[in-house]
Amino acid sequence: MKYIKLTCLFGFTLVAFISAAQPDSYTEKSKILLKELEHEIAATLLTIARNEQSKDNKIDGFNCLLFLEKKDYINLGLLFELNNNGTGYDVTKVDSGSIADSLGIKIKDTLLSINNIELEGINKREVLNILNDLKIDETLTLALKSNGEYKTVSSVLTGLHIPEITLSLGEFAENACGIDPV
Amino acid sequence: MKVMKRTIFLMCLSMFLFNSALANNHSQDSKLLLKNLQRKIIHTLLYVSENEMKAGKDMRNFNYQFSLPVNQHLNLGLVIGAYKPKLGYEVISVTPGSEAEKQGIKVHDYITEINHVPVEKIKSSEILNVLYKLKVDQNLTLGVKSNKEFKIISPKLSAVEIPNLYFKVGEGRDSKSTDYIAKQNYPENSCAKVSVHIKPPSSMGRFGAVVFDKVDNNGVSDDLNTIQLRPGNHQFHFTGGPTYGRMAPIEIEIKPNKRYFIATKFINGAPKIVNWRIDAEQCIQK
Repeated sequence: MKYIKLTCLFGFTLVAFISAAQPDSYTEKSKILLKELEHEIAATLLTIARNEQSKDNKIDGFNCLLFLEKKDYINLGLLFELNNNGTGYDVTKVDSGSIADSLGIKIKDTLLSINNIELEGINKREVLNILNDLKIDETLTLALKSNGEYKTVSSVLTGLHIPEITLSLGEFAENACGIDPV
Repeated sequence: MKVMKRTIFLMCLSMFLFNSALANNHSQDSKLLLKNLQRKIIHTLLYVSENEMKAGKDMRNFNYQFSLPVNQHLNLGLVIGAYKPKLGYEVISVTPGSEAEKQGIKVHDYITEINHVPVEKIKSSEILNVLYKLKVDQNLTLGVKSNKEFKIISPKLSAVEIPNLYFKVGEGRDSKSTDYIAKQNYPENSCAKVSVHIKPPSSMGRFGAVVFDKVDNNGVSDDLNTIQLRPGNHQFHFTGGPTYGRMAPIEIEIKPNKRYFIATKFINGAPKIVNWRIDAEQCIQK
């Protein structure tokens, strides 16, 4: 018990201001994760403040906003060649147990279309954009060429949803923090 | 108190982790820190999302907020352990580059006096109190026993200015998700503020300004931009001017010592009243 009494001489008063536990119905595990995140955010801000001060930058002028749109994270478990083979993209890897696996996609299959968008002549970036825009509970339809045979497979997508996130530093931050989105 | 101490301990720990990552360059470092933080936020929320999904909850209704007001941070860079009779408080860690290090305090030294009073005459809670209430340019002296040598040091207390911080996940709570509200008894003079005068930054999406109409069916003058309320559930009617006319009311659970910011957000072109930000702010009812 005594050791819980560990305390530190950082004269901070931050902790007291961290809003009291929110009585929401998150799971215990999530609560712990979010609490840790709060500490991490507070600690980062402190480090930034210290950083800027040690460089004689006025920290009270520090003002920035990090805004992340809500996003669905869907892992198809599918890797394909970086180059279009003319008609589509050749599959190079399928994770076992993934959505791609359950759809029966095999290595060396050629991906011909995604949700009825033909991949012929479409570059990698556009394909990644299409895949990035997939939403949970939507139906994904893929056309494939497998061992010389054409087939169409479809599945309702599952994945993780993250709501929009706002982190604002400074008084009513207007400017973006200049961080590349993940 | 125990929770508080634990929190402090965690906080210290996380600070050490960050101290080690503290580099020396200009705001490029700050950017890097923010970038790491962004990654950490997303990773944490992916974990949270997974947890909530396993528990059968819908992340689309997920809401989470916290804010820290503008603050000053005094940092001695010293972590002490529990009191040891006849010895004092043992120094467990000294942050590199900190004031404590500059004053020559080392790990395994013992703090034996604070402001010329021997520590055995001070309750540990009071010691915490003294150290919490550190002010810039305040006189603080510590008696330190180092290798049986005793010395008195007076650290120079300079503060780091910390800007305010606001963190939010989700689009704000709608009235349907307020059923968790615990019936809490807030002190007599507790209150909170609701403001409409600040428009969210454009990087957050398309927003419009609103004007107070009614609160709990009592009319509110439309030239007010901030009102003060008792904690509890309140229903707000706003108007958005002739452009978007009357909008559906919003119910907000008001907690003490907060400031709630309201605006109208265009979701698929349709205006919807949202509580887009909550700040921590002292409020005392007159």
